[in-house]
Amino acid sequence: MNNRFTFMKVASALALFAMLLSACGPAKTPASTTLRITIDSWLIKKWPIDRAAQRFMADHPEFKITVAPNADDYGNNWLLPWSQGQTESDLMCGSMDTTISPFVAKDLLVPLDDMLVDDGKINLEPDQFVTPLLEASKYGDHYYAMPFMGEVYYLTVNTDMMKAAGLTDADGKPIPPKSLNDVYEYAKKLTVKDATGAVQVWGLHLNWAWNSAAITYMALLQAQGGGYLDANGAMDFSSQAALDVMTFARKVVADGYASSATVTDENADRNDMKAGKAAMILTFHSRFKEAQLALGGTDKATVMPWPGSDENGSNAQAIVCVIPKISPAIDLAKQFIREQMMDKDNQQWSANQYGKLPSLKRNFEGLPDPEYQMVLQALDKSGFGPKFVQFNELDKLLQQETQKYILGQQDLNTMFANLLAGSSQLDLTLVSK
Amino acid sequence: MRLADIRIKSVLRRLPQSILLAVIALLFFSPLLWVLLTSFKNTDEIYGGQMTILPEQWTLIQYQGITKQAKFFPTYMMNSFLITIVSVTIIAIVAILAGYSFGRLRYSARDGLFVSFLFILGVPNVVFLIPVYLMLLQLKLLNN
Amino acid sequence: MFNAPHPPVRAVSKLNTIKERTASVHNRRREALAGYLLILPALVLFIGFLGYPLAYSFYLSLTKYNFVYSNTPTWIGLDNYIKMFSDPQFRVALLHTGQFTLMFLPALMLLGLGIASLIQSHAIGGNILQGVIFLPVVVPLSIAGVMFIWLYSGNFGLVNFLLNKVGLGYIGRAWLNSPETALPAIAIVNLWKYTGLSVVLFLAGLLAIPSELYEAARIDGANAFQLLIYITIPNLKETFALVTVWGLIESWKVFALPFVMTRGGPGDSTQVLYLYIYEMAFKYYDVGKAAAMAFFLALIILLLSLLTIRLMQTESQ
Repeated sequence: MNNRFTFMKVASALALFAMLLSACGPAKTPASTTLRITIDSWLIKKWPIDRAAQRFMADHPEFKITVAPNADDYGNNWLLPWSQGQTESDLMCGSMDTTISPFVAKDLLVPLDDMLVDDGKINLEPDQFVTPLLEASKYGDHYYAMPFMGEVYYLTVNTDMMKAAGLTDADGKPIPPKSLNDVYEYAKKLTVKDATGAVQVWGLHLNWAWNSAAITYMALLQAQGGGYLDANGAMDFSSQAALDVMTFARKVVADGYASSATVTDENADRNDMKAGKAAMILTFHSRFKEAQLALGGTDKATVMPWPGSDENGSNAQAIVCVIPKISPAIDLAKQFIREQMMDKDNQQWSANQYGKLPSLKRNFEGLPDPEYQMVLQALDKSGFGPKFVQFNELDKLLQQETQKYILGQQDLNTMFANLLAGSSQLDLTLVSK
Repeated sequence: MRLADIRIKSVLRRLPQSILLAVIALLFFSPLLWVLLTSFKNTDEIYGGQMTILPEQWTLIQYQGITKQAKFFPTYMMNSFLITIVSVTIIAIVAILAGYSFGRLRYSARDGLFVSFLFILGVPNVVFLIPVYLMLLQLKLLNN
Repeated sequence: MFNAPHPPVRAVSKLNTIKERTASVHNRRREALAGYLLILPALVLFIGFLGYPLAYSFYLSLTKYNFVYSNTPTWIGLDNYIKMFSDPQFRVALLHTGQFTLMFLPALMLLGLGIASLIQSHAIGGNILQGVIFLPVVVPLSIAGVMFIWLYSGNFGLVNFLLNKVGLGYIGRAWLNSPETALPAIAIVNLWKYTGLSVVLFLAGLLAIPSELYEAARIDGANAFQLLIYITIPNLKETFALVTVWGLIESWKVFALPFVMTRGGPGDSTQVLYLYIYEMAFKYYDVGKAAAMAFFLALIILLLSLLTIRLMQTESQ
């Protein structure tokens, strides 16, 4: 054994260790004049965050802003670091309303009640907001997130197909269906089959994908029955309205006038709409903008209320920003929200480019597309995601049971029985600090 | 003449299995081939009514799309690169040292240690997910 | 069996002088010291990244602990393990994982052995074609998943396209959207990816069989079928064991494909155990239950592997 050889090997092993250890140094804490914004990656091109950061820095040269994507959508990757007292984010944008429940439960967020005032320059009092978008951020008595963008479940329709099926009025505007039966008849008229019986154009798409089934259910139920909760505050799985909407949902698929492709492909509906293979889709209203772009004109696609949603509302989702308590730049973050996230120009940019909704009512003024005014009316009465402690479990249960029913694997009564049994085992109290 | 005869006979004898093998290989290759060909097709040709094997019009528009859309693509590539280089280096060094130790040197704990290494490797990594994540968090090695 | 070579044994009995004996003890101590030092990096990494997490995970599995809604872990002993079996979602996941294994493993072996024998019988271009079949092994699993989502598509997919071309268009459908076909479809993707490896292993096993055995048997008048049963398969015992153990581990741990392709759907027809564990930990935040299920999964894999090795050993005795 060569001693020098051994010594070299040992030394290199120790050197390696030194390298590893030095890499785990403590993270540098930035000064409170730097704002680190993190935002969901799908949101980066749909909301002018970079432009907002540039404008803020131009207005306030003493501050520095960085923008980075969240590692996981809805910012779930921040749950662990924030609970351990570490953050690389001062302002986290992108959660879809009640996905911030775990953050609230672990008391990781700064309450934002003091922002909801009129400071003479910018009025952010609660009545200025689109109601469900703000209420979605309220847990207990406090608001923990600021909505800057919104979506609501609405029908996006292909105008030409509606015209061809005789479902438009004298001005060429589609006539909204008045009942579930109407929707069924529409879907029947709009479905186009070829010589072999294969479907070329689907009359209707309802979205039963893993991330949408619960929203679809709540939207249908809200429109039909005025709400999706039962008398005990749990999700309604027994009322006549619930039975009616699900019976309809299955019938329209079983009879061949609606597609069930969304069960495993959450984008089947918007892709079909863009390719001209679907006439009506019930999903986030912003798809109408995508459809207009894909089909070649603002007269090619528009929105239509689901029967009942003009009186009872639909289901809305708020896209929000939150500030972690451990951030060293809390006041800076609040200022950025006030000046840029709530800014009319920024919110309208998102509306005009991607069909997203502003979160303040006054930011709707001056939008060229008439669809926004149509949606705003139903929007104000809409429900939003429930803040149940075990909502994730309920969500999964709902997906599985509704999917089985829609695909014809089980009947209506079994589905509702399973849903009732499953949800009775879950903790459906509301999340609060 | 005789040599050619033998050669032809040899080919004919091997023909059935060769054809079978070729068909199987083609089946295995077709998904990759399909994806490759599709990357050169127009979007409407991909989603349009008539499906085709070869593109009607060869186009590079999809590749242009990547460079436009992925603002963070270079970062991702760098990250993958970094991960590969660092992990391969560390593994190589550590394994060489340990392998030499297990293989060529004698000391009392050698057998016991070797078996425990093997045993732990047999456990699927599902059980390691959460604690390792927590540990990396403590060491501040996350999100950098 | 531990059969590592070691340096030539010193002729200890010849060292009689005290000087020589202390020198040799000194050498041995230095050797031991060097041994431990060289092991040190691997040991630290192991204990740090594998040993400690394993122990902590095991501790968590004996507690009731929800990461978001509990303050600290509460000791409940084996409760998680017992309650697991009355959870219908756990049972469904277990069932589907078992079904997946049954769909995947036998096919893996058949294809591996079949293709390897084709190559071994000197098919033309065998080496190149073997490379082509091996190609999917280097494609990352999640990418393969995304690729096949599209291939299996009802309207735009290659599978239905090819079926149409050969006149079997009527069985075409959205393969991942039907509860009956979703799990087999995923098993096929797994086969596509891993058959190449199986082929390599079987080929090595086949090439190791001495050709004298075959010649001797042929002289005795054995036909092809008898050759297969009496020579080929018995001599491939170790290969079968290896492929089985490895295939068992891969199929019981299946996660990336169902996660990327179907998320456990449609309904719960592709809900597998690893996926359920993942959801339990990262969606419901119940890390106690998740850890218990993870250890249970590890136990299953361990037992099945040991069983396979034991079976193969006793047969070759």
